[in-house]
Amino acid sequence: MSPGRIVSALAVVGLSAWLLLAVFRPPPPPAPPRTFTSSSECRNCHAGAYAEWQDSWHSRAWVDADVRTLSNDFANTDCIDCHAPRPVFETGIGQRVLPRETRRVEGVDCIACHLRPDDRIAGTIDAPSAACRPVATRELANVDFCAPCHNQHNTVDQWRASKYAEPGPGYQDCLSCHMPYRDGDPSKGRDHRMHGGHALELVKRAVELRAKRVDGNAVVEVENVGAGHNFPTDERSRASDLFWRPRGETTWRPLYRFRNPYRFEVDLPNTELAAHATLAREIDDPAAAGAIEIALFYKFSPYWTDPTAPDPEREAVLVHRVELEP
Amino acid sequence: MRGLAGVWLCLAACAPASKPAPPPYALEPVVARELAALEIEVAREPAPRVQNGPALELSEARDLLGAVVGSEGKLRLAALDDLKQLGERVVPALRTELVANDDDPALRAAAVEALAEIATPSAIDALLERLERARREADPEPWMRAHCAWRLPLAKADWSADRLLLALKYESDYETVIWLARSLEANGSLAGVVGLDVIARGPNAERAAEATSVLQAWAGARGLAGPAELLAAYHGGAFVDREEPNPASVRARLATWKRIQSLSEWQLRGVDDARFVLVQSGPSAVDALARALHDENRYVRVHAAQVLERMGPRARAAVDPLLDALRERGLAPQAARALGRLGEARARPALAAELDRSRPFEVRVAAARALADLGADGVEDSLQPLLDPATPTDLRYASASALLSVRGFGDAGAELELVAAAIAANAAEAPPFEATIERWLARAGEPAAELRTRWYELASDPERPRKRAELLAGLAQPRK
Ligand code: HEC
Ligand code: HEC
Ligand code: HEC
Ligand code: HEC
Ligand code: HEC
Repeated sequence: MSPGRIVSALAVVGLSAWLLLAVFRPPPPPAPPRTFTSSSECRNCHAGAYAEWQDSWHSRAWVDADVRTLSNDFANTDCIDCHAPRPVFETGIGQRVLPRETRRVEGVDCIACHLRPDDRIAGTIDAPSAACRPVATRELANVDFCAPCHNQHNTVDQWRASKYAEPGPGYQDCLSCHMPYRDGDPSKGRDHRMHGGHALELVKRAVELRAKRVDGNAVVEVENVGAGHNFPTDERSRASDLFWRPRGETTWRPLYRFRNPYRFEVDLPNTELAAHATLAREIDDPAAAGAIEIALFYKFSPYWTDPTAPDPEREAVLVHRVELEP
Repeated sequence: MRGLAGVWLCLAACAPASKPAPPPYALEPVVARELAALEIEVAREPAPRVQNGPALELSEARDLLGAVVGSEGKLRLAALDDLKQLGERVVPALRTELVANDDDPALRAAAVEALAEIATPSAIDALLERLERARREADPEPWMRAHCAWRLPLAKADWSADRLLLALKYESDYETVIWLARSLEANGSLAGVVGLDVIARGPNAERAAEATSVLQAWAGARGLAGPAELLAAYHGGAFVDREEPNPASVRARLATWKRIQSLSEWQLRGVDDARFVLVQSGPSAVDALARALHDENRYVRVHAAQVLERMGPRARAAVDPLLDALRERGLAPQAARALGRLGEARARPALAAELDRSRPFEVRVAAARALADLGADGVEDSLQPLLDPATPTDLRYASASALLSVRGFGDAGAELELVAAAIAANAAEAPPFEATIERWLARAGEPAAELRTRWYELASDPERPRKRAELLAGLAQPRK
């Protein structure tokens, strides 16, 4: 054996020993099983996600004043199911959730979304040595993960019927729009604030408001350009109202309402605007021949204090406003 | 060898008799089996006697109805009997007449009467469908709903009680509610008392008086002073033995099991309706619900336990099945809460056992809350250690609440401080703890009179929880 060969043989041995060491370096010991009894226990180690969640409406599902009033402080126990649910992974993806007994004030919390029946945490990585023992769980990013609570009024089905659900460059799912990567950087994880109707900038992106003259008549158009489902979706409490008024007047005149009515409102049709759809409405009023203003408002609860004279500036939020010349 | 076997036998035989492990909690297609069996029984029922001949046209039926409306006494009865004899042949036309608003209302009223006389399943169904109209579309004639509720011959069709109960949930016309309640009562069900009570307190003075007088009459018939006593007795389960005097018919049992099946639906509308109807139903539903605790579908099991919980003492007969249900992990929390509401003291030791560290956290908390509802007499020792600061908050507060249920006014210590802390901690969690305090104050009698007054004065204060917690500060007695 030539010295050269011996050297390279040694080198090979050395290299493989190093490789061996690298591959077989004893992994950190797995963390012991741990029972979480409150989402506040996640806070120390996941401060960022925790702060975002606290700022989200999921964290308010139990304490939200509107919910408490409508459910009679949850004396109507039918309402507990989704507003203080057992973990989604316990009942199953796409299955209905069931009510839980503990930490109800935390509403839709970390544990409800992340705890698996094997007492480990659903995440995007496997890290058996981390205290919460996360397991890569693809279903967490599935639209059917949101379905247990958000498909009773068909939001997920509406999305499935939209172009956003078609594979390809235009594909966007619930997470793309509601849980974007922090700073747009996938390595930073997803924003847990889960913006929805309470985030005006998102609602503004949902629809476009246009007005034009056709044979001198005022025609108003609203197009759903940015919601991956009906506008406004899901919650029957929501409504979006079109108003107009001659320029210079102070009182808004109702033109159209987008809304899915409550169960008992049997004489009202569902007037939500489907994804990609456009509503066109002519203003049938001589006063509309002059200069007019048109505005789209968004409302968190459907009723007006005075239904005969609704005051959207006080009781709703302005989404878009356009003007039309004579 | 033989010697060894003998020793082994002796060992086995002489070992202290340890209880055999119970078989695993059975999960079976209970609902599917019941439904299949009942469907067969219904199919075997003799078909209603059908008169030969074609179905009547609407105009022909109207002529006959006109004869009823236009005559009196014996002639009127004869005209009605003509319709009755036609039976199924005239039902489709009468069904159409119920929603024909183009015509004399008296004819529609007579159509209701005729259908009630015919009383075949399809005739009853026509009346029920009319009664449910406001749930599908705007109803220009609410009085027709009241009329159907009044005429419905429940005694001949106990299975329709199921749909009457649901009608109670959606009905907004007070007159109809009153007639629904009366029809149900005439057939042994007091489910209408709750609706009548709402009307009796409502803004419509005329209907309020009517509802009050109905409640008063029902109370009197049961030897009770008035509406308040009647309601308390109803919720307390005083009438369960007298409800549903006749065994439920096959169709009635089928209706109950179909509701139970609905508990597994995806759409909550059907689930909520089923929960409502089953809670309002009587003893035969309790029996069915208790068996449904073994259904293979988890939604059926959990919601069945919830329904028993909402029935409260009326569901007392389900105590043993619920105790057994504590063995099923997903069902145990709801079973425990139900046991708390049924009011049977013998559930206490089993609930106390569920507080053990080895049990899932959800179940431990549910058991502590159940003991707060039921009163923790005799199981204080299982609760006391849980007041320790190391206990997770939910369990610690619930255990304090349970312990307070056995304390007297001058006798409450750390548990009182903890319940006050729970009330102050979060307004949204306060109501059940406030209820615990209210029971404690009620038991305390005279010595607590002043505190009670101040407590209730705060009922609609915007800062109610904090101020109420302050009211309790300093009352806790140090414990040796
Ligand atoms: C199927 C699950 C589910 C059940 C059961 C449920 N909710 Fe909700 N609720 C939701 C979801 C999901 C939202 C959010 C959707 C949205 O805001 O568009 C919501 C939102 C609400 C809101 C609006 C809150 C806000 O942000 O303004 C109110 C009020 C409300 N629910 C009341 C109730 C009441 C009262 C009940 C019982 C009668 C009930 N909910 C039962 C799922 C549920
Ligand atoms: C004692 C600290 C600690 C606690 C408590 C804790 N975690 Fe973790 N968690 C970690 C660590 C460390 C990781 C691994 C992070 C990594 O490697 O990027 C992790 C990872 C995760 C992941 C996977 C991250 C990914 O990128 O997919 C999720 C999800 C998660 N935790 C959720 C939770 C939830 C929910 C709770 C509370 C119920 C919780 N954790 C409690 C320390 C903790
Ligand atoms: C409404 C459901 C929901 C709630 C509530 C929720 N999460 Fe998440 N979480 C998700 C989803 C969905 C993902 C993304 C999974 C993916 O990208 O595959 C995620 C991702 C994560 C990750 C991985 C890294 C990242 O940030 O994307 C961590 C860590 C995490 N969550 C922690 C928490 C903690 C801690 C809480 C409570 C404060 C919480 N989550 C509440 C649904 C939820
Ligand atoms: C366990 C039930 C549950 C699950 C799972 C769930 N949500 Fe929600 N979500 C709720 C409830 C309840 C509310 C209403 C809370 C409130 O305002 O009271 C809500 C509110 C929202 C809102 C409205 C926020 C606003 O501004 O009012 C958005 C957006 C949302 N959820 C998105 C999602 C997405 C995306 C997913 C899936 C990753 C998801 N949710 C999963 C129950 C759930
Ligand atoms: C293309 C972007 C997009 C996609 C995809 C999308 N959404 Fe939205 N979503 C929006 C916008 C914009 C709004 C605000 C307007 C509205 O309420 O419709 C919104 C609103 C909501 C709301 C809040 C309604 C409220 O009352 O506060 C919920 C809940 C919601 N989406 C759930 C979902 C779920 C679940 C999915 C997946 C099936 C999904 N969204 C997919 C853009 C999207």
